[in-house]
Amino acid sequence: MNGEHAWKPFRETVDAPMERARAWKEQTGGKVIGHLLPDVPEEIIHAAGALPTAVEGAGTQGTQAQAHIPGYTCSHAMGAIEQGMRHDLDILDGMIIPYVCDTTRNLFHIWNHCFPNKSNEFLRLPKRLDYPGAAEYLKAEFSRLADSLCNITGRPRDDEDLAASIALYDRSRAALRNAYRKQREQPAVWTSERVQTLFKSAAKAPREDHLRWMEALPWDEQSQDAMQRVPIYVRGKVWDPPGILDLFDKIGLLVVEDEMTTGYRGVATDAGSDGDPIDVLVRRHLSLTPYTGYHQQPDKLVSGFLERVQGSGAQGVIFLNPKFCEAAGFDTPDFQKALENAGIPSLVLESSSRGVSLEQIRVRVEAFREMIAEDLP
Amino acid sequence: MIVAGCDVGSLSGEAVILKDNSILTYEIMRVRPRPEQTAQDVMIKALSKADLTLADLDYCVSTGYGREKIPFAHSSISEISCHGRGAHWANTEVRTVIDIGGQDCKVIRVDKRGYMVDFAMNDKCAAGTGRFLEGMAKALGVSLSEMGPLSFESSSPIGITKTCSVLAQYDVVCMINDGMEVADIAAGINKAMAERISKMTKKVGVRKEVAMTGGVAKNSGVVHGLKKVLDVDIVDLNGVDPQIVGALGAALFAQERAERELRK
Repeated sequence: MNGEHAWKPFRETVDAPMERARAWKEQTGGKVIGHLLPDVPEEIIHAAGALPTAVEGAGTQGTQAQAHIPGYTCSHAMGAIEQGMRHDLDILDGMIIPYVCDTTRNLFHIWNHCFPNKSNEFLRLPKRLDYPGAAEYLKAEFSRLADSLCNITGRPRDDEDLAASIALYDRSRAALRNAYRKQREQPAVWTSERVQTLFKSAAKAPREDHLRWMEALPWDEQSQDAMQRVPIYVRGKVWDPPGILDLFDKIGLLVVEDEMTTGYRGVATDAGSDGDPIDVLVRRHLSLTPYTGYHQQPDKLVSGFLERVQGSGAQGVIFLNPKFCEAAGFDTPDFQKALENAGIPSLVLESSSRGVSLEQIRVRVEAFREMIAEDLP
Repeated sequence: MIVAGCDVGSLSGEAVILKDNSILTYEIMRVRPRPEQTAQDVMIKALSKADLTLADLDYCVSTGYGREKIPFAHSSISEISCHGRGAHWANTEVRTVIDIGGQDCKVIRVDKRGYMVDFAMNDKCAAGTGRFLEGMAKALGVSLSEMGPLSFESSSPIGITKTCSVLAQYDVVCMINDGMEVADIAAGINKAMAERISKMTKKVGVRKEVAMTGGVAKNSGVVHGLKKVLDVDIVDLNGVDPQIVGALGAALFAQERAERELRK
């Protein structure tokens, strides 16, 4: 497999994720469990014998969800409800909604009301990650989730299964990190858009298949990049609007690091194999790059962010703040102030596929590139 | 060396022809349905004023929303950079540029060379833009050019609190029906515009001198309101029409790019 052909299974998965899940279900007879992304331990779903499938609401247009959830809800949550209402998610046997913000807390109850025939789980993640009891609490919550999923699938809970799932996901994360590195080294071949397709499809396809497809990618292919690309760092939640990475590619921006849940943040940290598998997952969770909905010591949060930006070699930072996401909005001024003091330019984009024009975003991103590149005329 | 800048926006298209760093001629026109059509028409008109054709141009830079669609342009640059550059060329003391165009407004901070160092742009809706003002003038039954002078006749400007252009227009219709003075409503509209733009200006930070560009800079009521709200003077562009500043900046970049190509 080489050239464009090698990228095909990833694109097919992203274009029709539930078709991929349906085929898996027909083949294995297993259960398909959806999840609303941020920090849901896919390994626990996998070890229970189910297929974890990320549901990304961002980018979904529609009219049905607003009857069930307020209009000022982020497009990720709103889009997920919309997909459910129009039966795109019928293949799911269950859904896990993580508690990362007020919206997700309320979303779970709305979800349960809208889709009572599914096995729905509310994953109560700790909000204070630096609190001494966080690890103990999270261990109990992950264990509860594992038991609940095994009840759904009918497979007995087994630590060895979980350890094997963790090892599989660590291998997958390593492969995705390699792809991300390739994006920096060979951006003409490993475009942001292509690499993002790898990341998105990883959260939707059977992970064993995904790893196999990745091995067939043109890892040694080289191509001269005609563009002078400017390295940037991106902070946000999900890549929305969907065309944003393609826009960065075309304009000549190179994402050298990001904190997106659907981006580098999700693969930056491995779990490892040292100790009880649930403990391993808890440790991984607590060492992840702080998500915008968690409570952290403000000074530590800001200094950590600045260190990551400076370490990345980025010339500027783009905040991709989802429209109607209060948590992202609250963090941004402190981060921007720290960047300004460090002489690093930043741009805040209120992003959403609902009500935000990509052309307006384009003007601002182009101007930002012109400003930080200092290569005009 | 003859170069050009072409700015195709949402309401108007502008072309500026530069010869040896001086404005040779320029043209402004209402947009056609397609940006390439606007660009072609406005550029041909500007060139014909100096008995020139497209073949006489050494380089052309396009800008504005239609910048990617202009077939005769050699390259494109965002209108944010172009407005900063053009305003600074017209008055080298300028460090803050407030550009109010047809569908957006931008505040641009430039350095002593006229290069952008920071900017902000509206992202919610058309409130505080030329399109908003156009709708209000229509509701008042006056021309756009009358909005400024009319507002100076007011003794008591009426507060316009709606940020949505459509709802604000509805408010204006209700005010007229209630028999309120047209001059007071016009003054209220200009004041509301100025207040909205001032919020964005303060985000970027006001550095003297401050200049205004774009079609709305021709509305003396909004300019007066901004001076008052920001407590700064809005400096003169030394006779340069504020509406052509984007195209002028593009032409200045065109000149530098042409010179750079010559040096290669």
